[in-house]
Amino acid sequence: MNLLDFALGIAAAFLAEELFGWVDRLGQWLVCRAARKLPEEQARRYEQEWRQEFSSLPKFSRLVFAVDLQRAAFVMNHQMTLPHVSIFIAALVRLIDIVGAVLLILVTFPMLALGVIGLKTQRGVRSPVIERLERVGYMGRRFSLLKLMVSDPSVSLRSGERPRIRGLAWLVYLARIDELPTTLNVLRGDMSFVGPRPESPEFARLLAEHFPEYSERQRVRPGITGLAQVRQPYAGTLALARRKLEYDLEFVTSFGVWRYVSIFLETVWIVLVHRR
Amino acid sequence: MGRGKTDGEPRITHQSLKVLSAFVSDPYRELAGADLFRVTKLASGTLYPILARLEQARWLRSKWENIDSADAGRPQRRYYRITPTGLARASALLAEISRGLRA
Repeated sequence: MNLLDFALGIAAAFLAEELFGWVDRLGQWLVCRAARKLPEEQARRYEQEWRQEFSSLPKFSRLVFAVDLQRAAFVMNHQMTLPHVSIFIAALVRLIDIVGAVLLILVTFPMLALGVIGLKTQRGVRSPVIERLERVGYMGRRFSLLKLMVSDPSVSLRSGERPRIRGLAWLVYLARIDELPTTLNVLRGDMSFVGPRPESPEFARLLAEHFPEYSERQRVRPGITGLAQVRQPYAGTLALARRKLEYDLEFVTSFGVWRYVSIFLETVWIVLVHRR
Repeated sequence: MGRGKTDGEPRITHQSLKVLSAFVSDPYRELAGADLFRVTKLASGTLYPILARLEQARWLRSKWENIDSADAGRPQRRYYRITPTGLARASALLAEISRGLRA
């Protein structure tokens, strides 16, 4: 063996070690990601169980194990939430969400970039433009709903005063560009394009106190639009809130591709024709 | 939110029969995920939903291994074991299938 062979051998061993290190880290991240998709009371148990199994496997199998756990988490959630619906229907709906979100992000990226530039120009480069609103989502899990911040965070408000939208921010709001980051929530799996409206934890708690069946709407991902939103846009009273909940529960029991598509088309019709 | 059925009949598929067979062949044996991968040759995306389904129906139960992680130098394993109900139902199912195959 000459010196070159020896050096190549050392380099190959070093690269393999480095590669396995990275693959291991990626695998561990995927294991945690899969476990955290489960309901909170189960996430801890499965994270520990799966991490242990991951570390006991041969290095070559670890990544396959971790990648396939994403499927395990999806199926386990489905078994708990929508056992009456075929897993293939649920997977198809999720696939439509992912493909739709990717396409929408690609198509609307210039508008979003203009919106961000507009807000930054108005308020200064260091000013935050993304708003994270805490919402209750799929199986009661909390998530951050992403939006562009149209109201100026540097303006202090007196109690009860509504934030004012000024200048370019008003254009962003009018063109609904502020809602485009929500597409990222759909891509991440926090939300779907169609589903019950995601509520704040306080409002969700209040509604759950009045309506014991309220948590049933958490069997599906919350949506940007939904059956309740197209049939009953406003819910200023408890009676109307109950009516909206009935629509949400109707959506859960009749969950399917046709339901999803029809609500989506109905929303497009309402937005384009009725300008609601 | 309701968490689906408990104590009911779990959905039985070809793959869940493989898992049940692993337990029925030695009912007193406790099996970890790694043992079940080896015996059933199922992938993690298939195996864990089956284990969750059987556990929810009370055909299986699971518990953490009784070791001190620091002493053992590794984290505790989660072990699965078949319950008397699970054993009775799974044995009946497997016998029925084997009778069907012989007929």
